[in-house]
This record gives sequence, structure tokens and C-alpha cells, in this order.
Amino acid sequence: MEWRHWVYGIRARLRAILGTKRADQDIDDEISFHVAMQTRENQRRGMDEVDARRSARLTLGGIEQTKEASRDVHPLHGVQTFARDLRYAVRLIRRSPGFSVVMVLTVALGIGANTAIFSIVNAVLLRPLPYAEPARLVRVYLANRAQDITDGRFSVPEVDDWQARSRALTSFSGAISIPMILTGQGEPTEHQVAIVVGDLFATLGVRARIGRALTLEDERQALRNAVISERLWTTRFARDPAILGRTIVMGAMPYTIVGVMPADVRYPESATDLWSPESILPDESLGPRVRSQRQFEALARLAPGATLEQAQNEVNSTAAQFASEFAGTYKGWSAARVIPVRDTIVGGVDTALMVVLAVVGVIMLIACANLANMLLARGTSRAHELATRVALGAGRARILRQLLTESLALGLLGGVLGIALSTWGMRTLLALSADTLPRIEEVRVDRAVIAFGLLLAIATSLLFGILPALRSLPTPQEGLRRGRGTIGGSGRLRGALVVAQVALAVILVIAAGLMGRNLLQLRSVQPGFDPERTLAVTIQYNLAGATGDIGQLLVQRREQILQRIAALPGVVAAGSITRLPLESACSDTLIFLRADGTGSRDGTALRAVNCLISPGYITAMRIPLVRGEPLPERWPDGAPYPFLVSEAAARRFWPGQDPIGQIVRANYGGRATVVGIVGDVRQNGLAKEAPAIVYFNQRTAPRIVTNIVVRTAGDPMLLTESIRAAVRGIDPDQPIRSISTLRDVLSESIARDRFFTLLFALFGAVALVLAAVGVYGVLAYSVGQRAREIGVRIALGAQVGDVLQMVVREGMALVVAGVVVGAIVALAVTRALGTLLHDVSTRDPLTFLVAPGVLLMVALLACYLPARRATRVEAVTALRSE
Amino acid sequence: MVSVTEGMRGTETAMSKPTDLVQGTLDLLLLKIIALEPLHGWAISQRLKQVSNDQLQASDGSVYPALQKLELAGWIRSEWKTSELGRRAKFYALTPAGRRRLTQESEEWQRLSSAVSRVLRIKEA
Repeated sequence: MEWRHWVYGIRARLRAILGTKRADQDIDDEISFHVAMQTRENQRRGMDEVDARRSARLTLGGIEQTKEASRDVHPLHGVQTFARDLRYAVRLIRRSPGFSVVMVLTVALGIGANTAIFSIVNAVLLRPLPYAEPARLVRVYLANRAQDITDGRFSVPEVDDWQARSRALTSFSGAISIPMILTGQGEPTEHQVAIVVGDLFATLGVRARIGRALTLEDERQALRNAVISERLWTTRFARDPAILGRTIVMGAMPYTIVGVMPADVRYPESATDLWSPESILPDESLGPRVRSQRQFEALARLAPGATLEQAQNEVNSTAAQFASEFAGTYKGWSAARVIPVRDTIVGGVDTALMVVLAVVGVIMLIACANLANMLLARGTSRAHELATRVALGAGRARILRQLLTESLALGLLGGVLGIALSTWGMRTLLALSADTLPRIEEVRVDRAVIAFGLLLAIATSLLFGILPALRSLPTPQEGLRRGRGTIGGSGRLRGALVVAQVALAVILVIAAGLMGRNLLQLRSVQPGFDPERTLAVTIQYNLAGATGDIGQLLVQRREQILQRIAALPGVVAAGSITRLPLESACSDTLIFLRADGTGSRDGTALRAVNCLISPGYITAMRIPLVRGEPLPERWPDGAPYPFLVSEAAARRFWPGQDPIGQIVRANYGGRATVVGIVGDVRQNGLAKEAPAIVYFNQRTAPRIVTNIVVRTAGDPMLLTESIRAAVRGIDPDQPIRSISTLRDVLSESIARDRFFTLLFALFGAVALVLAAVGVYGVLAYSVGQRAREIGVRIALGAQVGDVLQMVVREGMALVVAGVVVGAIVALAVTRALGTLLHDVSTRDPLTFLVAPGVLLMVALLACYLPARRATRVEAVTALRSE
Repeated sequence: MVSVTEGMRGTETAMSKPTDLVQGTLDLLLLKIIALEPLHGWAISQRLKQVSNDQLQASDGSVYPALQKLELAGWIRSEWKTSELGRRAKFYALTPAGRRRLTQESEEWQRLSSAVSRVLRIKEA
């Protein structure tokens, strides 16, 4: 049945599509025929000709209206109207190029900034992680309230037990990342090796690129199998497909390669190059496999149907169960936390990025206010044109549609330009961000980003177009009666827009101020060492052709290099450390200390940041030795390892006792004893409290990569050449990775804070300028409109000062209202900055005074310029121009 | 702003749209009128007024969009012919599909209106 209707309709439809001109003509002819017939009929009833025609039009309900309604029925009519409106819009754009260029550029800047920020947010926060159902992947942490630990790890027996007991979580696995040295493949190199407990790759839900992933069988049978990263496969094995089955030596142990993981698998570390089962490690190489050896980061999946809350409740009760079952080893370990993996990766920056996205969104709103004001001003001059069209029978909806098409044309033009700008903006942002964001390598302009830009352009055009369009619509009653070029009431709307944009700008300037204060505060934090006149030299030892005991060789090389450098003229002291303070991820592998005083294996396990140093490091960094002895270079065989503790570690591990002389059992070695206490160092970053640190001699665990700190008498940069020469003197092929001053390291450590502060400052400044332009524009327009009134005042004897004051007062009334509203709103919304601020209150009084003050000053300037123009109005000219 | 939008809506209603009740039945009435003999738009609007005793509160113009719709749906077809006064006019005639549609719609209307009448005849207890 339906298809036949359709067939009969084809003719009409084809005509509608192919011969639109004819269809339009048909409607015109039909309506005029109707009017003619009705007129004749009316005349027949005794009306005169004029009345008859008038009455015919009235009973019809309007000629143009009827035509329009009939055309609207046609399927393609909307498209045609749009195309016609668009052509008209393009004509208008070309007719007033100055106006259009300013409009388009404003939109382009707004869209460009928003799209650039969005491309980063998209890559870092929105694009899913490359694992199966990434939203269900969680990290599990043990918590110890007594020791104030919320990110506790798991021991080998615990991973197995939790796998057996969990219901809401499945596929429990653990992993730890350790630096190891690859040998037997040319020059030895250092790599991050993941030691895996359980079926990690099943938990992640990833498949090998070639070969296979590790399975539980590898663990159960303790097979010396390993999976390598695509990066290692590429850099060291030239993507040789015959890699499978080959044996490589990592950390002095042979592994058979069974698979290669795709490049986007970056777990547990983004630099992980090899995965192997824990069960193949020799006993005690990672410490005894007992419950209290918690070193593995636990990863699990939410069971099908289980929610995060259910899992959270379950892990808490599971932890409590274990705590009561093993009362001795679980003192205080009675709770646990479940956190989505995504949060652990981007947790530090997600609020920051969302706030920045909100900030550029606000910039767009401020820009919209300016655009709307420009359209309003033009709408006034077009009032006559529109009134004429209404009088001629154009429907109001029709005119509204045309006005919106015009702003859409401007907006889309700006949008396309903005998206082009955003690729440049994105690259600039990436350069500025200085690798301080996670997943930053995934940032690119993709379809999602382009779609975002275009949608934003459309939404923006409608937003800045709708108010002026509605305002420009004359009512039919008014029609042409209204004079040329005047429009009632739009002044108040324009004023409201100015208040709104000033308020938004105040919020952004306050936010920028808070961020700036925060950065200043951070820079004044004492790091715990003296960063002046000190160089940090990073070296990866050249071990090409090395044979025998690599560890012994590394110790020798380090001593040689340190001696040569210390002997250079101008060098005060030199020492070395595996990871420099303040560098991101500088916390060395956490180790456990048994603090029972006897060095036996039972007792409480405590964690501390483990720094491996040469004894000269403490002196070279000017870290104060509070009590006890410095770290000795050598100690008798069989005696406990001597080590230093920071004051925080001393307080934490031996509250109320003397740490010196205490015997503990270190994780990687045997027994160790405290020989001295040194001052606290903000090892993990300026914004973080100084952690508990233990300093062991580098001999206990030599590494390929080391940092040498060199304290100098004069300008440290003058010594870089002689240091390079000294290193070359020992081994001509020994490369130096980098030389920088400790000041630079310090400054690098707050790069992320600086990046976000810079963004806020930039956007704050843009908001300030946009708001000032808005104030200026509205006031300048108002002065133009009131030229006659001002002329009369001057003619009647008003002084320059009076006129100036009148105009400035008009503008500043709006500005002050905006500043007050903005400051009040800012009090409520700056809380969103909480996680970005370290030592500054989100309601810092100084910022809340200074930022609005700056805005008032700028706005005063913006008011003054049009006011000065007003004083130059020539009374006679102004009066004549009407 | 509110007043502006409302004002707009007001003019739109006054323009040429029939009331809600008529909207639903206008198609049926037009089909019925055209079924009697092929007519041009003005005659259709006159006939509509006559047969409904001027009870339909719609402007004459409202038949034109409705006719366009019926033609697009395939229920009527149009042809330019010379009218009784010698001027060319667009005449509408029913298609076979339109005839079936008319039967169907009429039956539905009958059913509905008799149901409504029955309800209205119920005496209050």
C-alpha cells in the first residue's frame, strides 16, 4: 500500500526536486488566481475593486505567508532556503570586510584555543587506554592506618590469596619494575624489567604482537621465558622476526624470548622493556617470599556485573580478614583501596586539564559577548532593512532563520580557520608542556578533535547570533514606523553583556593570580640542599666490550670519574647518586627495613626512599649531617652495611629512640646499621613533604646510569668543558647524557606547575583584553549614538570634565558591577583549583584584591578613550547630522 | 526576550494555520471535496466554506499547503487547465490511492465520531 502512494507521489516529488523554479512559479500562479477569483466574487457581492482585492487578501491570510507555507511542505525547501540565506550571508560578509574580518578572527582565536586544549584533553583523558575494557581495570592498594600508608603493595603470597578470595575482582596479578642491564648484545644497556606475579597479560587483556604473552604456565613451571617490548625489539633486534626462541641475558640471567608486546602496552612503567615471571628469580633476590614483602603493584579486573563500590567494600573486608588471620605480620594492614587504572595514570592532571578546558570555554563565552555586541550594533543599522522586509510580508521565523544563517556563516568560517590554527597551537602547547603530562605522546588532531571544533563553531554561532537576531526582529505593528537607525532597549542588553564578560574575566584573572602566587611560593621552598653553583652530570657508563663482573667494573669507573672531576681546578666537591632529587619518578624502588633492632627477618616492614650514593654526595649537595658519622667508602666484609637516614626517616622508624647504631635488614642485601642522620631533602618534588630517605653506598647495587653532582667555586657552566675532557680522558667513547646546573634541575621539577601557570596567565590576559575591547566597543558605540545629546550639552556650556565624567561613569558602572559579581562567583569556583595549589589558599586575600584592581585599571583606560572622543564632539556638526 | 519569542509564536498562529481540530480532519475534507469532481484551489476553498457552513475557523490560504501535502503523498494529482473564466488554473483530482485513502479515513472518522457521540449521550446518573 505504502509503496504505491510513494509511486504516485514521485511525479510531484521529482518536480519538487528538479524543477523547483517551476514549482515556485506554480504556487505563485495558483495564489494569484485565487486572489483574482475571490476579488471577482467580492465585487459580485457589491464591493468596489480596491476593497474587494483587500478583502480577498485578508481572507486568504496573506499572499506571501500562504506561498511560504505551501513551499515549506516541499522536502528540499529547507535546503534551498538555507542555500539562499547562505549566499546572502556571504554577500553581506563581503560587503563589510572590516566587520567580518574582526568577527571571523575573534571566532577563530576562540575555536583555535579551545580545539588545541581539547586535543590534549582528548589524548590524555578521553581516549581509552589500549587495554580490553579499560574502564574495568583497577589497581588495588593495601592501606595501613597506623603507618599512614594508603598505597601499599602486595607480596607474592598475597597476590595468590587475593586471587582466590576475591569475588568482585577477577584476574588478580602483580608486577614490579626494576632496572636491569642487558648484556651479550653489543654494548650493555639499562632497561626497565617487569617482574610479574599471576597472569598479568590476561588481566590487561592484551595479545602479543608476535609470539605469545606470558601465561600462568610460565610461572608454575618457573620457565625462564620473557616477553619484550616493541621498543626493545626495534632498537636492539632490528625487528627481527626470528627473535622468538632466542636467548638474551638480562641482569646476568638468561631468558628465552617467547613474544613481543605492541608499543602501546606500557605497564607497569611506560619504559618497561621486558616482562618475566617472578618464580624464576633466585630465592631472596627480591627478598624472601613472605607475606610482609609487599613490593608488587596489584592489578585486577572488576568481575562482570560488579561495581567499583562493591569491589571497594569487598577488598576492605578481605584485608580485615587477613589482618585477623595473620595478626603478627599484619599489624595495621586492615584496609585496602580500589582505584581505576586510568586515575592512577592521569590522576595528577585530570582536574588541571579539565579546569583549563573550562577556562578556554569561558574565554569563548567572553568572545561571544563581544561578537553579540558587534552584531547588536550592526542590527541597529539594519533595522530599517529588516522592517521593510517584514512589511513586505516576510515571516518573522523566516527572518530569524536568515539572521542565524548569517552568524553561522561567520562562525563556520572562523571555525575552519580556528581548527587550522589549533594544530599550530597544539604544537606550541606540547613544546611548552615539556613532557610533564602523561600520555602526551598520543596527542594528535584526529576526527574527534575536528568534530569538536566544528560543533563548537556551530554552537558558538548560534549563541552569539540568537540574542542580536531576536532583538533585531521588528514586530509587524512597529514595522516602518520606527525611525531609521534607532532601536529601543538594546542598550540595556549590551550593558548586561558587558557586565557578564567583565565578571567572567575577573574570575579568570583571579585564577591566574592564584596560580602565579602558587608558583612564587613553590620557588621559595627550601629543597634541603644548596642548588647554587652546582652541576649535575648524567652519565650512562660505556660498557662496550666489557666482560666479567659488570658490578665491579661500574664501581671502578665511578671512582675513576669522581676522582678526576674532584681534582679539576675550581671544583669544591663531587659525589654521585642514582636519581637526582626532584626529578619526576625520582623515588627509587622502595625498600623495606626491619626495625626490630636485631636484623632478624620477623618484625615490621617499613618503607623508605632508597638513594644509592657515593659518600661525597652529601658534602657536594651541602646536605647537613645532623648527627653521627658520614657514610664510609668501605667497610669490613661481613659487617652490616653502613647507611644514613634522613631526619624524617629517623622520626618515622625510631620515634623516641636513637637511630644511630640500630641494626636492620635491608631488602637487597643483608644486615645494615645506621651510622648518621642527615637533613631532610624534598626528594620527590618541591610540592611534596620530604619523604623518609635512606642513603646506601652505591657499591651495594651499582647502576649503569648515574648522576654526578659537582660543586664549584665560581660559575659552574665554565667548568663543563673541563668535565667533558676529564670523562673523555678515562674512556674516549664515554658519552655524557647531559650537563645542567642544579638550579635548572630545580626549575625543571616545577615545569608542570609552570606550564599550567603559563596557560592561566595567557588565558587571563586574553580575557582581560577581550573584556576591555567589549567595554570600549559598547561605550564607543554609545558615544556615537549620543553625539547629538552630547553636542547639545556642550552647546549649553558643559565643560570637558563634565562630559568626560559622564561617559566614564556610564562605562565604569557596568565594569564595577561586573567586577563585584565576578569576585563573588570566583570565591565559589576557585575551589576547583584546589589540587593545583600547594601552599596558597583558594581564597587568597591578596589575589582577590589585586586581580580585580588590575581589571578596573584596564577598564578605566577602555572607558577613557571613547570619553575623550566624546569631548571632541562639535556641537554644530552633531546637531546637523540628524 | 520572552515577550519577543511569544510575539513571534503569536504571529505564526495567526498566519494561516487552522485550529487543531481542523488540522486532523482537513485532509479528509479536502479528499472528499475533490472526490466529487476535479476542482481548482479557489473552488475547493469555497466548497469547504459552503459545506461546513463557515464553521471552520481557517483562512482560505490554509488549503494550499494542505493540497501540496496531499499531492506529495500521492493521494491527489494536479493539472493546469483552462478554468470557467478562461484563465488557466490548477485543477486537483483524486488518484486511486487517494480514493482508497478516503474510504479508509471516512470509516475511521465514522467509527470515532459514533464512539464520541455514544459517550456524550450517556446521561448523568
